[in-house]
Amino acid sequence: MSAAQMPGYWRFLWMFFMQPISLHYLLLECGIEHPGISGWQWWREREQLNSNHGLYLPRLLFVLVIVSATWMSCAWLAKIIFQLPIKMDTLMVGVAFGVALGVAFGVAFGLALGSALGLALGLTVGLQVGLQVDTFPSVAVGVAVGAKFGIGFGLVLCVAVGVTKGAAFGVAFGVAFGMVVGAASGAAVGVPGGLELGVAFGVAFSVAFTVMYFRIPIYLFESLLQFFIVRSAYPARTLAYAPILFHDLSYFPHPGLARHIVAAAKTAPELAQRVLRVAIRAPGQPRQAQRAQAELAAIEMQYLLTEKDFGQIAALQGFWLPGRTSESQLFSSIANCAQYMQAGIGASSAHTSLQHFNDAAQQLQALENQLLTSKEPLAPFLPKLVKDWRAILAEYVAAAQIQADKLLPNPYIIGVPLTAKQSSGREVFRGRDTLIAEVETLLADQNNTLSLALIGPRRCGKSSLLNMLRVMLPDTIVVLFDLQDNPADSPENFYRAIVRTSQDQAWQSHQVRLPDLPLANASPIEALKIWLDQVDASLSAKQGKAKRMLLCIDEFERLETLFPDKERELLQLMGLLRATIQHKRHVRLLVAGAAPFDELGKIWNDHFINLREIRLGFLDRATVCSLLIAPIAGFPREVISPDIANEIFARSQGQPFLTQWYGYALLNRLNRAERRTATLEDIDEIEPEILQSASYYFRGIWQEIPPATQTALTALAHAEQVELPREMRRWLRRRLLINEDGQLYVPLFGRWLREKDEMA
Amino acid sequence: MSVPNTVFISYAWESAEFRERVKALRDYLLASDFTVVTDFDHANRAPAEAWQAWMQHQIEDATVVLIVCSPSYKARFEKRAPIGSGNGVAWEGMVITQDLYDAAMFNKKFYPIFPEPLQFDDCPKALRGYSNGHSFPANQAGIVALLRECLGLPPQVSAATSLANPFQPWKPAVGPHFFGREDALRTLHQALDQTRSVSLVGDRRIGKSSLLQTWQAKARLLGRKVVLLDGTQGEAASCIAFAKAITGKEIAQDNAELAADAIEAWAAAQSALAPLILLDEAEKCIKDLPHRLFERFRGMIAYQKICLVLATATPIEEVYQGTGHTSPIINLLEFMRIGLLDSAASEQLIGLGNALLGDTQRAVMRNWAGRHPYFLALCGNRLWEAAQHGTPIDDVLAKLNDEASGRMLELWKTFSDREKRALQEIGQGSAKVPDKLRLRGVVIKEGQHERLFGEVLAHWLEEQA
Repeated sequence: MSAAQMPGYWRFLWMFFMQPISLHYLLLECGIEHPGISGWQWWREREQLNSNHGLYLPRLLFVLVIVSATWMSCAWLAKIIFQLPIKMDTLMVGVAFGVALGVAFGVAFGLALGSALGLALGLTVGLQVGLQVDTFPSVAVGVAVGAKFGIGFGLVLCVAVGVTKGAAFGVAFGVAFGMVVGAASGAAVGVPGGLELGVAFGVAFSVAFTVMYFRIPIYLFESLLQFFIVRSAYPARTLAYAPILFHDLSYFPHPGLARHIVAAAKTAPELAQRVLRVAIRAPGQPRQAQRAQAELAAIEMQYLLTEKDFGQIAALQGFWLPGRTSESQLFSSIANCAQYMQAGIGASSAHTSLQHFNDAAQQLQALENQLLTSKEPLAPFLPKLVKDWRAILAEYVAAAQIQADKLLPNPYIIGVPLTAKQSSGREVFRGRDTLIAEVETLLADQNNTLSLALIGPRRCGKSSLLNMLRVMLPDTIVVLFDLQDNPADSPENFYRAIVRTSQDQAWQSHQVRLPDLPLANASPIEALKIWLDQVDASLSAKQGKAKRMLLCIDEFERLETLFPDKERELLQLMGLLRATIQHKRHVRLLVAGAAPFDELGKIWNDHFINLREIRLGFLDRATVCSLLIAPIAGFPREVISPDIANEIFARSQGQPFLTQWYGYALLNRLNRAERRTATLEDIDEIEPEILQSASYYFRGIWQEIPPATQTALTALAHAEQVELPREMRRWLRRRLLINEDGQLYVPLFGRWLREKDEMA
Repeated sequence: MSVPNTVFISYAWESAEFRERVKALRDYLLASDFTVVTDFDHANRAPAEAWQAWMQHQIEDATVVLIVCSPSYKARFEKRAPIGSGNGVAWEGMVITQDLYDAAMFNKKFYPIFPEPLQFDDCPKALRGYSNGHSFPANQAGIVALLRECLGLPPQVSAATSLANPFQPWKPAVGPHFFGREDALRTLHQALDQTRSVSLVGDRRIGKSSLLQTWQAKARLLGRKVVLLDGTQGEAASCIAFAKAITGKEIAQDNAELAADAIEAWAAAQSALAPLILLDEAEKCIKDLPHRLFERFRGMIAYQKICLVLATATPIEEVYQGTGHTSPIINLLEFMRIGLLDSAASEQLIGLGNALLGDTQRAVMRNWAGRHPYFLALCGNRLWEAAQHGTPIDDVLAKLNDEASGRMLELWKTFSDREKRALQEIGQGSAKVPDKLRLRGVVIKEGQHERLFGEVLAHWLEEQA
C-alpha cells in the first residue's frame, strides 16, 4: 500500500492547473502508474488496478464540471457587464458538447488528456457556438476564434501532454495544429475571405497557444515576485512564498532562485529541500536547482571538514550530500580522499598513516586537476574546500611525522607479491638484477625466438619478479596474466580474458591500443591466433616506446586443469603457444610456475621444447644482509647489525618470503618495545610468531610432498641420518628443501617440522 | 522533541575512568530497557543545536534527571569552581536550579546518585533533600527501582528480577560486551593496512564471531567497505547467493566465474581502498561452493583487490580434507589462532554481573569456566538467573555441567588420540601436553604445570572416565 494520499477534490483541481508536475509525481506515488490511462483500459483492468484509481476518475470529472461551470458563469457575467452578444442557451449546449466530447476522449485515449481536450473544446467551441458570429467581420471572427481556441487548448494541453512529452512536442503540436486547421478551414469555407480567415485563425491560434503553453503571463508575474523576495533580509521566511512552490510548470528560470535557496537553507533546511525538489523537476529551473544543491553540498562538506568528520565525507552522507551512489566524478574523488584520511587517522602505525596521507595528498592533487576542466555544478565551489583540506592534511602529516620519528619505519611487505605501487615495493625488491638482465638480453635478441619459463618454488618471489618486470623493462609491454585471476569456464572466455588483460595493460603502461579479438567466422583458437598475428604485426610497425609484448602466464601448470574435459582445446592452445614461441618476433611468452617441465606430463615437453628455463632461487647472503640492514633509504643503520642480519640469513637461508617476515616481525617488536637496536634474543622471540603467522606457507609445502618424502624430511628435521634415494634427493633439491649436503635447507622449516611432529 | 519516559544523566568529566563508570551505568540502564540520554550519544559529533541548547532541552524534556554527584560536579553546580573549568555542568546546574525554583522546590524529577564509595558531601546543597543515597555500580539496582517508580512502571517483586541478564552466551559479544583480543585486533588491523588476508582459526564458541563483528565495526570507522558473511546463513548455498551477499546484486547464473567477476567488479567500485570481506563459518563455503571460485579469490587476494578474513574452526588445509582439492589461497593467508581470553578481559566479562552476582558467584565463574568466553557467559547467565530466583549454586553447577556436556563431546571429537590421552592424564603429569592444546585454549600453563582451562572440562573428563 502506497504511503502517499490522493489529493482532495479542490487540491486536485489546483494542482491540475498550477502544479501539474507535482501532481504527476504524486499520482505515481499513489500507485497510478499511468496517469494517462484510457477509460477503456481502466474498465478492463479495474480488478488489478490500485484502489486509488477509483479516486482518480471522479477527481478528473470534478475538474471538468467545475471549470465548465466557472466558464459559464464568466460568460454570463461578461454578457451582463459588457453587453456581449452571447446566447446563453446555445453556449450551454456548446459547453455540454465539449464536456461530452472530453469524456469520450477520456474513454478512448486517456483520462487526463480527455479532460484537457474536453475543457479546451468545451470552453472554445461552446463560446464560439454561443457567439453571434454573423455580427462580426469574418477575419475578426477568425482571429477571435483562433485566439480563444489557442488559449484554451494551450492552457490545458500542456497539462496533459507537456508534462510527460516535453515542451518541444507540445509547441510543435500546437503550432502545426493551428496552421493546418487554419488553412484547411479557410479553404473549406470556400467563400470570399475564407483563406484569410483560415490564416488569421492559424496565426492567432499559434501565438495564443505558444503564449499560454509557456504561461508567459504567469512567468512575468513570478519572476517579478522572485526578484523582490530574494532581496529580503529574512530569506528563510520569504522562501516559503517562492513562486515555484505554487506553480511548477514554469519554463523560464526564476531570477535569484538558487541564491535564495542557499540563503534560506541554513535556518530552514527542510523548506529549502522542498523548494529544491520542486525546482529540479520544473522545466525551467533544473540548472538553478543543481547549482543550489552543489553549493549546499560544498558548504556541508566544508563544515564536515572543519569538524574533521571524514567518515561522513567518505560516505557522502549528510543533509545535502548525495551518498556513494552519486555518479559525479568530483564527489567520487572527494570521497576517496576522505577515505584515505580516515585510513590514515586510524592506521595501525604512524608510518602507515603517512602512507595513507600521501595517498590523500595525491588524490587532492587529482581533484584539483579535475576542477580545471570539470563542467559539474559542484566544481566552482570546491577550490576553497581543497585549500582548507590541504591545510588540515598538513596538520595531520606533521602530527604523524612526529610519531613516526619515534618509531622505526617497517618497509617489509609480507603475504602479497611486491609491486612498484607499494610504497616500499621497489626498494625491498632485491637480488634479482642478474636475472632481469638475462630476461632483457633474451628479449632484445631479434635473432632469438626463445621464450622463457620462470621456475621456482612457492613464495620465492616469482610473482614479485613478474610485477617488477613491468617497470624494469620499459621498452616491453609486460602483460601479466594470472590463470587464477581470470575467467576460464570456457576456452572462448579464457581467450577473451587474455585479450582483455593484454589490452588493458598495454594501454596502462604504454598507451598502446591492441586490436580486439576477431570474432567473425573463426573458432576461438583461430581468433586468438589471428589476434596474436595482428599484435605481432602492429608492434613491428610501431616506432614508439613499445618494441615487443611479453605475455607472462603465471601458475602455468594450472592450464591443464582449466580444461579438464576439453583435451582437444588444451592441445590447440598448447600448439598455438608453441607457434608463438617459434614464429613471433614481437610477441614473446613467459610462463611461470613451481613445477619443472620435465616433471610435468608429455604434453608439456612436446609443446615447450624451445623454451629457456630460468630458475629462481633464494636470495644470497649479501642481498639478505643489505635488505635487512638498509631496506630503504635513510633507514637507521644501528637497527639491524650485520650479526643479526647474518643470523636471520642462517635461519631463513634467504628464502624471500621468510626474510621479509623476519624483518617485519623484528621491527614490529622493536617498535612495541620502543627500542632501536635488535638483539639475537629478539630473533628467538619473534620466531614463534613467524612460525604461527607464516604456518600456511609451511603447510602448503608439506601438502605437496609425497608421504615417503615427508617421512624422510621429518627425520632430517630431527637431525637423524637419512639415506635419501637419488630421485627423492633430486626432487627435494629442485624445490630447495635440502641443500647440497642432503640436509634441510631452511632451518626454520626444520623447526616447524619438529614442532608439528610434537603437536601431532 | 520530548520523548516520554526519558532519563537524562547529568555528570561532570572528573576523569576518563570516571566517565567510563558513568558510561557503564548508562549501558546498564539501557540494558534494563530505560530510554537514557547522555552526551555519549554525541561522542563523535556535537548536537546540531549546539551543546548549550542541547543540555537545556534534555533537562527540560527528560522525565527524570539523574545527577551523578562528584566533587567537581558540586563545585561547578554551586559556581565555586574556577571560571572556565567545566562550563557544561555550571550551565546544567543553572537550568536545574531554575526548574526547582519555578516549581517552588517541589521535586519529582531531579535525583542525586553517587559513584561508589559513596560520598554524601559531593551532593550539591540544593539537591541534598532529594537524595536516598542511591549509588552505583554495586547497588545500581536501587537506581533502577527509583526510576521505575518515577516513570510509573509496574512494581516488581524485587529489583533484581527486572534486571536484564548481561550474559548472552548464544549471541556474539559486541560493543560493551566485547572484551580483550587486543593482539588479534592489532594483527587484523596491520593486515588490513597492508591489504593482506588472514585465516582466523579457533575452536567453536571461542569468540570468532564476536571478534569478526567487532572488527567489522572498527574497520568501517577506518573508511573501509566491510561485508560480513556467515557460511551457515545460506550464503554458501550457491554462487548466486554468495555473490549477492557480497555485492547486493544477483548474477544471471549459478556460475563461479560469473560470481567472481561480479565480486571483482564490486571490489573495483569500492573507491580507494580495498574492501574487507569477513567470512564467518567459512567451512561451509569452502565445501559447498565451487573450487574455482576460491581460485579466483586467489587472484583477487594476490593483486590486493580485496582483503579477506576467513574464520574456521580448524586450519584451512584440514577443512579441505576430503574435498579432493588443496586450498588455492592457503599460501596467501596469514594464520591467526585465537584461544582463551586474557586475564583482564575475562575479569571484565565476569564484572558484567556485578549488579547481581557476589564474590562467591564470581569465584564459581572463574573456577568453572576459566577464561573461556563462551563458558564464562554460559555460567554467568545461569548464575544470574539463579540469583534472581534464589536457586542454590550447587544446583546451578549440576545444570551447567549437564548443559556443557554436548559442547564438550563436540570438542572431544576434534582431539587426536594423543591429545585425548594427554588430557586424561593431565592431572598426573605423566604425559607431555601437546602445545596445540595450549594454543587452542584447552589447557593453560601455570608456572611449570599445565591444567585444564576450567572445571567444566575436568568434570566432563571425570564423568567419561
